[in-house]
This record gives sequence, C-alpha cells and structure tokens, in this order.
Amino acid sequence: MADDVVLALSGLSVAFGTGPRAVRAVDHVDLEVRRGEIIGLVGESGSGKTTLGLALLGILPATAHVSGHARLGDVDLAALSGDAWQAVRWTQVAMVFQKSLSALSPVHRVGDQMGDVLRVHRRDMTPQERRDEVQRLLRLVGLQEGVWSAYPHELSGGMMQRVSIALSLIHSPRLLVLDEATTALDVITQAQILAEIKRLQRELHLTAILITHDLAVVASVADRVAVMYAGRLCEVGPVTQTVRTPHHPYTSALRGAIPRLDTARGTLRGIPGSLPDLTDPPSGCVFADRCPQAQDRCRRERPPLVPVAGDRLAACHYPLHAGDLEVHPA
Amino acid sequence: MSAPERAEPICAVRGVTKRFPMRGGLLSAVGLGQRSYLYAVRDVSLDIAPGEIVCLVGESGCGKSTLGRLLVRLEDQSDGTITFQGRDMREWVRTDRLDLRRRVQIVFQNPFESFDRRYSVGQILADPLHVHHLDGDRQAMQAQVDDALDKVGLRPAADFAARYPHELSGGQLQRVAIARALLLRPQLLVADEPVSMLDVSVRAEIMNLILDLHREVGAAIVFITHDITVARYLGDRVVVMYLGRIMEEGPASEVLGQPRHPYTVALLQHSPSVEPGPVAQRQPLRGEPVRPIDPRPGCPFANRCPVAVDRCHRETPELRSIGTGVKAACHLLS
Repeated sequence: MADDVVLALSGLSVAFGTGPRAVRAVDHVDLEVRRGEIIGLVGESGSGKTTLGLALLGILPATAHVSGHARLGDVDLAALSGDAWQAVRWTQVAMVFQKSLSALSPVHRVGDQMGDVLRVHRRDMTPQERRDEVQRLLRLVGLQEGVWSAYPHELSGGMMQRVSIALSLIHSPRLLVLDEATTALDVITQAQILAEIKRLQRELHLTAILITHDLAVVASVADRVAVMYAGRLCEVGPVTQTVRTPHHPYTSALRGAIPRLDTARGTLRGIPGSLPDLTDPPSGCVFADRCPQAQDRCRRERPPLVPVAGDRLAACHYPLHAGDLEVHPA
Repeated sequence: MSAPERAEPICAVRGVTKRFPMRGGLLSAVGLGQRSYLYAVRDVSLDIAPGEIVCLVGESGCGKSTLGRLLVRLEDQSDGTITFQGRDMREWVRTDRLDLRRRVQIVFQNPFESFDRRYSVGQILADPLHVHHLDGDRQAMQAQVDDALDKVGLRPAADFAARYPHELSGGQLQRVAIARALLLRPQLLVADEPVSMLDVSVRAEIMNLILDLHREVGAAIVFITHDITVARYLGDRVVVMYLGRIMEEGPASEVLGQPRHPYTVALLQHSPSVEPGPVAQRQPLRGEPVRPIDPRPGCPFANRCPVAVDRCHRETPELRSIGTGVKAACHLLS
C-alpha cells in the first residue's frame, strides 16, 4: 500500500440477506483514498453509495454481509466485528449524516453532548479541559462559543451541520465520511458549509469521502470523483476532467441529465430504463441495458475498473474519449 | 416606463399576504397580550399570462409553496385578492368549488404521499372524471384513462391502470400525478417541486414530459423549485422570492442571465454547478434568514445583503420596473 493511501478498498462487497434472494448492494469495489484529498462518491438511489459509507463505520444492519477488504492503515475494516469497532469508530473514521439534528439529544446542551463524546476516548481530561477543547472545535467550524450552551432545536440547519462536523473531528480521525451532509440545506447555506469543508481540508489536511447524489456538489469541492452505479464503480478520476470528458457512458449520461444555466429548453436527456435487479445482477456490465452504445460483449463480460489514461479509471469495454460523438440518443 | 406588451393575465395576484398565527403563550390564551403571526407571503402582486410557465424560485421558507397553495385555494389569503379569468377566486370557490377545481390543478412534491394506496392507478385516474361528471359510459371513461396514461409515457396503459401505487417507482408515480392533474384539461397547473425527490436521470425525463404536455395542453404552469437551473430550463418567466416577498421577477433569460437584485446574485453565485472550475467569485453572505414573525419594515434581505445601506433596514423597497421586462425590489436599483 502506497504511503499516501489512507484507505484502500479491494473487492469490497456488501450483500443483504442470503441465498438466491440476496441483494448485492456493493459489488467488488476497488478504490484508494489518498491522504489530504476529498473524494466525491456520487450515485443515484440504489447505487450502493450509502451502504458503502455505512460499511466503513461498521453500522450496517445485522442482515448485511461484508466481504473483501477495506484497509485503513493497518486495520481491515471489513474484518472487524463487535467490540473491535469501538477502538476505530470516531478515532480512526467518523461520519457526518444528512440529518444531524436527530443524532443529538433534544434535552441536553450541545456543549455537554460534545463533551460526552470527548470523554469516551479521553478519560484523562478535566471538565475544564474538555470544555476548552469543545469551544476550540466550535470555533474551528465557524461557530460562536454561545453554541456551547444552546439546545439542538435552537440551532438552524446550517449550524447543526457545523456542530455535526465539529463532532466528527473530535478525535482527529484519519478519514471523514460525509453522507449527503449538505443535501437538506438551502443553496447558500450549502455553499457556506462546502467552503468550510474545503477550508478544513487545507488547514487540517483532512481526508474525506463525500457521498452525494449531486454531481454539481462533487464538481465544486472534490479533488477526485468515484461514480457508482448499481453497486459497482464505473469511473474514478480527477473531478474536472472526469466531469468534463467522461470515459464511462453512465457518467456522461448523468452529466447530460443535469440542467445548467445555459441548457436550451428541451435538450436535456434523461436515462431511460431502470436499475437492474440486484438479486440477480447481469453477468456483464450493469449499465448495458441502459447504455446507448452497448455491444454484445457488454452483456456477456463484466468490465473491470482499469486505467484508461493517466490517473483515470473506467469500467467499460468501450470507453468514451473527448471528441467522440454525443452519446445521448437523440 | 411602459411594460412590454403582455397578454391579459389568466391569473392576477394583487397585494396578497398570508399570515399564520403562531401558537401563543399563556397571555394570548386568555386574550391578553399581542398575538404573533408568521408572514409566509407578504404583499405579493403577480400576473400569470395564459399558457406561460412561471417558475417561483427561492430557499425554504420563502413562501413559494404557500403562494402556490393560495393559487389552488388550498389556503385563503389574509389580505389582497387573487382573480382567475377575471373572477375573484375566493368568491368562485365559495359559489362553485367544482367548477374552479376543474380549471386549476396541482402536482405535489412527494409522489409517495400523493395517492390513496388502496386504489389502482386506473381508479385513481377515473376518480376526477366521476367527480366532475365527465365519465360518460364505462368505455369512454376507460378510453380517457388509457389515453392519459399513454400521454405521460406509462405504456402499455392497460398494464399500468391495473397496478397499485406501491408497485410504481417515484418517477412513475409522478407521471400518474401529472396525468391526474391534466385529465381535466385545467387552464392553470401548479407544480410544487415535482422533481426534487426524484433521481437526476428521472428528473430530466419528467421535466421534458412537462414541457411536451405544456405544448399540447397549453395550460399556464406555475412551477415551484429551489433549483435555479431547473427554473432556467423550464421557465418563460422567473419569480425570485425571499422571506415572503418577491425580490426580482421577469423573463428567465434576464433574471437568471443578468441578475440585478443582490439576492438573485447571491443565489446564482452560491449554486453548485456541474461545470467544474474555479468557484465564481462570491461576496460572502453574513447570517441566515430570520423567520418572518411580526416583521418590521425594511428589506427582508438587508441583514445579509453585502451592499445594504441604512435605508434598506428602515424602508421596505417596492417592486418596480427596472427595464427589459424586469421588476426588482431594491432601493439601490432604478
């Protein structure tokens, strides 16, 4: 494992249930997350992006079966069970959720709750030290110290997400997973929080996986993007090139389905069709049924995620290249 | 300062305010003290021309949904008037509710909560025909239902008519909601965030469907969205709202192409874009919107506006024409 790789997923899979009706929500995912980068994990509903995030924190429901490897330093997250997670969760890897308000108790002050989280792994601190540390974290995410004595319901959505980020940073984890962390916010607040995440990345050399359905959010903050569809990764690469000239037809179709301010009326193209049945995934490419360029081979052989050019990977037998004809059917 | 020639509006909103009483404390419960109100819509005036698509844009709490609900009479305004085809809507709904309902329809945001799950899609679509006595004989009704399903792309229609809501995806349910709303050939359709719960790939298809049907049916559409790219894609005209007031309105290409009101500018600068690259130069905004409870005079955006002057905090700016068909409510624009 290269020095700058914080997390290395290889063949990571998550299945729900057993036997012939088992659903493969995450299907052999290979991905390296490098120190100090923000990688955007983007996909639509049913892509498995959230399941993958939950697997990294060991908070999947009991029916889930994890296989493959997820190496975070010298720990394989995919092999941890029960109590072993306690030593890893929050100290090595932490998560920020979409609705953080529901994660906090409504009847205790924000500062006290943060102090409690701190105490779990830092028994040596005095109450005053804890209080100072919580205040420092609140300032770090751009909140005023008054938030310490507030109750969760007194805070706006944007402030709650900031508290949630402060909480996730409390034990300086090696990896932060942000699951739709700005989705419920208004655009202006979302932009402020994203700018805050970007600042924390610079100041703390934060390594983060940003899980979202919104390619535009990824395009504005991530360094690299990993596009997921039906449990598999279809494309990974630096965000600017990947979004501008996608190699995978799914990435291209996704891009073509999102309006921009200069999109002429009626020219937007959806992606006809629907997700394949994940209890019985196709033997070939999972996107073949909806892909405008699929050939026979795509329906037979599963394309591996391989380098196409430079730092860019795609799981496609016939990757697109800049200058190719428009892939969306007219 | 003559406005460009516009058709006689099909719907005219004049000075409309909607306030909701806040749950009071002990004093107000016994009739003492002042009752507090949340002003969801404040002094809004707006014309909707026949057959045009007007997009109401704004963040949560800006009053766009409440305004939409006022237009379909799911709410009644506290002040002001709304006329539809020249008649007062409040009066109309009182004297002939059914007649107005046939002309004005709505599609809601959440397709999973828009239907009674005990009824099949066919029954759901037949229901408005029964209610409005447009069903004719069994065969004619069946034909109308099938035709409606076919138009929204749920084919074969007979298959979909037999299914129940839980058997359909979000996108398919939203197609049923659109079919139901258009079955009565309304002259005004309010669509309240109809694509915001759908996946990106489905969202584009539903927006195009709305455009196709709009071309065919010709109803005026009030499309409510928080997403300026959606508003730009669909809207002939865009109305930007903030804390219950209209900040700027006019042709979509003007308002979102060359925004003039500081709030519209902020909204555009802060919207993430799929076009990667250096994030547009932003003027940082302070603070967050205040809930409009018993609001005082002044521009609602003044506390966050990067260019606000003293006057903005004291006097409410009027919405007035600033040229090229655009109206804005800002003291600094003329």
